[in-house]
Amino acid sequence: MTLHEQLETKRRQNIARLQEVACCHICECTSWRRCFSNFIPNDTKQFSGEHDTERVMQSSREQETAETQWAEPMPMRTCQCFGVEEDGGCWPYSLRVCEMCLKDDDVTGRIRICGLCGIVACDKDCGAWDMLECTDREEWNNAELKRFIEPFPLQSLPEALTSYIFFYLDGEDLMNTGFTCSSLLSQAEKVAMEIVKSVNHQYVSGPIKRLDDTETDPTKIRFFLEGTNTFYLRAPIDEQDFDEDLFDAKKWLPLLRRMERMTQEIYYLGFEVALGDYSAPSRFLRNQEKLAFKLSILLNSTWSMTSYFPPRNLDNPRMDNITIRAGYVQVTQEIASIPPNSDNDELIFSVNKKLTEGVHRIICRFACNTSLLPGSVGILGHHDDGMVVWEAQLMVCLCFEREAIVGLEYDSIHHSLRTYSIIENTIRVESFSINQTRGQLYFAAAFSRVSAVTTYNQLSVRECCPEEWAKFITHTPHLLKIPQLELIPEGDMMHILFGGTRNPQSLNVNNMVGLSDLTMFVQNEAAAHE
Amino acid sequence: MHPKLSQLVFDASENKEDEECSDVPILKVESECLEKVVEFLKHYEQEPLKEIKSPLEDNTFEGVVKQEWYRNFVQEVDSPMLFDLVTAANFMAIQPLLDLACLKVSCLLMGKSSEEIRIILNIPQMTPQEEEHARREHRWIFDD
Repeated sequence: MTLHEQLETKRRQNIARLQEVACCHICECTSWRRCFSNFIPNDTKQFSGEHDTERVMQSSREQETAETQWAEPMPMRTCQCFGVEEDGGCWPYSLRVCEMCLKDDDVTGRIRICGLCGIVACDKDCGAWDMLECTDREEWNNAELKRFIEPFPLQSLPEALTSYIFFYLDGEDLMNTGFTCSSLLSQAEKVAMEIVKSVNHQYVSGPIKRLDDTETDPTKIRFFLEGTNTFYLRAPIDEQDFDEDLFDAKKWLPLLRRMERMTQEIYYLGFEVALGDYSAPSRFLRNQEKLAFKLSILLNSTWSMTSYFPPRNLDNPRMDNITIRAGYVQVTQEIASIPPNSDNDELIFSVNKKLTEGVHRIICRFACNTSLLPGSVGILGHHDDGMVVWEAQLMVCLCFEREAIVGLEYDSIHHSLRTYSIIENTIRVESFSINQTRGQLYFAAAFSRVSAVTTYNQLSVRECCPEEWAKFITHTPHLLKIPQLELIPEGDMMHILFGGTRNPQSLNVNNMVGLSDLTMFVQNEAAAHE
Repeated sequence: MHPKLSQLVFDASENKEDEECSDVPILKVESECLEKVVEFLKHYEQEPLKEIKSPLEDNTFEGVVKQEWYRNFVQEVDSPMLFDLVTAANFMAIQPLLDLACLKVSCLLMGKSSEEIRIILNIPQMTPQEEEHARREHRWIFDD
């Protein structure tokens, strides 16, 4: 006798005893609300509240003596809490029950049910019987809507394995998989919840606010986390400015998708998605070892340093005046504590990894609503005597866009920094020499004084592998054409977008083939200007 | 072969009282699937599978599993056998095979619509009434 058969036999022997006290013969509880019971009275309304043992036992005895008149077998066995709207754990979805279990249910109670969630699952050794899918909704208690389906492969796997498979999927794929049937949707929800909880500390708390600019460009959606909730992003969440018809805030799957879209925007991953790597935001979101901002420095015009912000407090989901989470910074208006010395003050954020031997590449993104000069990027030197100095600094400009994107490439062999500023369909390339002997070097980005006091402004930084970098320097934000390259001579640190006396050298790269030609051109031009 | 790779086999062999008999019964794995498992274990002894990291390094199976033999190993099997391999690897506690097979199943689902996933997994279509019900209850699935 197999283990399953032993358990089945034991269960059948126990049914009579449990039936006497109207206990569920699956979990032995007596709460009607929390459990499914084989004992189904003719009039279920009699038992809408908490279980009344005496009344049920009386009814049970009456039924035993009278001709057996069980309630009309419902096509679906569910918890009494099933479909109750106020029960946050209930799932108004159809459930799947093995046909054999339905036939045996009256006698064996073979169907197992999980209390509040209402998920019904047959024994794992139930066998490859046809499955019945239907609901407890009255309008669906119709034989025509029941359908018998063949068991599908994922169904035969334990839930833990299915979750393991689903964990590799991004939000969009999870959603598509979940929508195939109810059981997979519940699995997908659980996986989404695990993923969100593992990464939500990298974002400020909600509610999520959306600033649309879809009239001019549907991609110009700014997600802003207000940071007023006392808990990290979770479902259900408070949403503002969202049409309730469009967004179901009670579920983890839409929240995961929302977080992936935020990640795509904040960390400038859209071009990778457009180039076919649609799971890039998902992979980046789940990366627990992102390049992060570590030190925030208020640097005034006299180059004296004030370490302004305390270390990041991951236990506090609420947003400070200026909040750093992983590799992005966000501003609110409540920054009166920043001493307004002069407009030349900068709020600098240094990353957490020093520059070592080799080539290092990052992408910085400024998303600023009002300031033409949102800030700067470059390499910060932390000297042994405590001085913090820009070893190389590029002032960032905003044009007609709300965001400015700059790629930085540091080469320790050539002691150089090269910046790639994306301006519409142009990538402006500039080179700087770096003095290697002056302290530890870090990538850094800074808000200008004006940007640091403007609500919703964001600043982000992320590392790039060589493959991502190759895509970055050959793309344009609108993917309209191959970017036009402008090489700015070294030493020209001020970039006035409109007007100015410089004549930047430009090259139409439309006729160039391959990345190697582009790289060679940049190197040749840099050498020509030395 | 690398018997210690299977925790089930390893534990069973450790607990055997009769040391002359080295057979370990694997009851829950079909013979055809077990042959594939053995094939995997034999090759693993020569060329261990590189760890599959999470999050994935690429959005394609070929980009994640760079070792050709392992790519071909799972690509040569049909879907039923693939799911059998997942079950067998789980039952026999062979983590590398489990990682590889689960990743392959995931990649089958990546970038697919619900309709395509239904075909892959042999899940029947929702009736119009069920779909209408789902649209009412979970509008977010259809929007945004």
